[in-house]
Amino acid sequence: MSIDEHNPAGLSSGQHFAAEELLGYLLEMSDAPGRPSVETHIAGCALCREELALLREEIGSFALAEVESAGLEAPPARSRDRLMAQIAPAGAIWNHAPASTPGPVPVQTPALGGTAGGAPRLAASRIPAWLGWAVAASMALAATHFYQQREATRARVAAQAEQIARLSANEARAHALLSALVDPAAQRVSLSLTKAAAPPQPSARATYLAGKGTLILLASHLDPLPEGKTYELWVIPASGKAPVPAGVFRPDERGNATVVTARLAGVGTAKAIGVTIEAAGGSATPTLPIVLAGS
Amino acid sequence: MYSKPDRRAAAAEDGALLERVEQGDAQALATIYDKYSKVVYSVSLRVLRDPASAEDVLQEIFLQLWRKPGAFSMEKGSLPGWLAVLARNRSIDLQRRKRPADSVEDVVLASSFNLAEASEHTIMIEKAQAWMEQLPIEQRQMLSMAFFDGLTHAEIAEKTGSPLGTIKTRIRRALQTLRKAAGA
Repeated sequence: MSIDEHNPAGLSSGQHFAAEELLGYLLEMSDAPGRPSVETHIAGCALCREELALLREEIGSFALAEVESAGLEAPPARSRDRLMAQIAPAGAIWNHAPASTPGPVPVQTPALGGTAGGAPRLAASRIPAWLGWAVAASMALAATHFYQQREATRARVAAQAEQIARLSANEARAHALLSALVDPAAQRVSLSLTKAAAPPQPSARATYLAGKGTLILLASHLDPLPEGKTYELWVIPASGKAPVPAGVFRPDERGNATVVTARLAGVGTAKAIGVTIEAAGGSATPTLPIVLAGS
Repeated sequence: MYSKPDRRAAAAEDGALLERVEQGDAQALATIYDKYSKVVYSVSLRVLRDPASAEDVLQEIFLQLWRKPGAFSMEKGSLPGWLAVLARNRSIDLQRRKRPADSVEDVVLASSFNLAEASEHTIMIEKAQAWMEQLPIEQRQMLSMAFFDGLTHAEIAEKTGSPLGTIKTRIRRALQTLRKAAGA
């Protein structure tokens, strides 16, 4: 059957789904026909079922050709072990060789004194007395080995969890900053020198997102500061409350500085943003004059 | 993927393996894994571009096959085709779960498609997959965007600046080309 024969109009005719609609269903596209309507239809339509199977095969072949053209990637060997460990029945030990060689076979370990392949049970009197001690020693060694393996695995998992937490925190912070920069609700304030000065004049641009307490300041042409001094950024709340310190900074050798303050709690809408010069370490209240200000 | 007689033989072999999996034969699953893990992993890696995530998808799919081998039937096509589509769908799911809430306006929809790379791929495909030769680059681009980049018809239309109807027609033509090539 060709796609044309299946649906000459190329659209849902009410009888059958078009090929691109079935592809959308196969690939779980959000703008494809609803899954229940497709599933109800194919349950009673052998033609569409056949079409769906052919499409799956063809799109699968397309994907395979695409990835093959770039070279098929083999998954890490540990992945096979991981899978086998998850599905192996308790007590079975798997040969981890790939199945291109004779396949893995569970190794049956006969119980001591039991039968192996139908062999006659050994008489208890034939078991040397030292054999029990040897087995016990072997088991103790094996237990120690497994304990060490478990501890090493536990340490690796803990280190990975810590790394994941760190990466997640970084990602959340980066996303918050990006959101603040593009959020239409953000107040964008240009700060300029409050007194006349020779060009180039110090200037800064601040982006403040009150809802998230995020403040970003990009300053340029700032005057260098003497030792023991620092610039300090302030948010002057619209509520009339006291100015809130939002970070200290020193410009680089070209007079540029960037301040990112991600969490300013309880400040609310800003009436103005300002920059003062303070003693190193910053101050709890701004020291006049305010060298850069904007609202 | 195979010529017709080969395809029938491979399907019969896969069917027998799946029956054994249904009976709890872990060795049969290991054999299926050895045959198709590269396909699943490579598709997933192409979508996610992250080996660790691709490995997670690989595990999820083979565990699913172990737990519910009945989810696949020969009526759904070949096992590798089904696995490739499943790998793609689970990878896109994972990608969507990982993606931060897209309130940011200037997020650009990712597309791995690159004309120069595509030309190189075409050269290699000529050797490996003769029927792929018949797929024009534009049609290949449509399928690649839908399959590997996880774009909907509307998103492809937006990305390419073409009307939605044109995109649907192009995808349909691409599928027709694949059908003709597969039957050749």
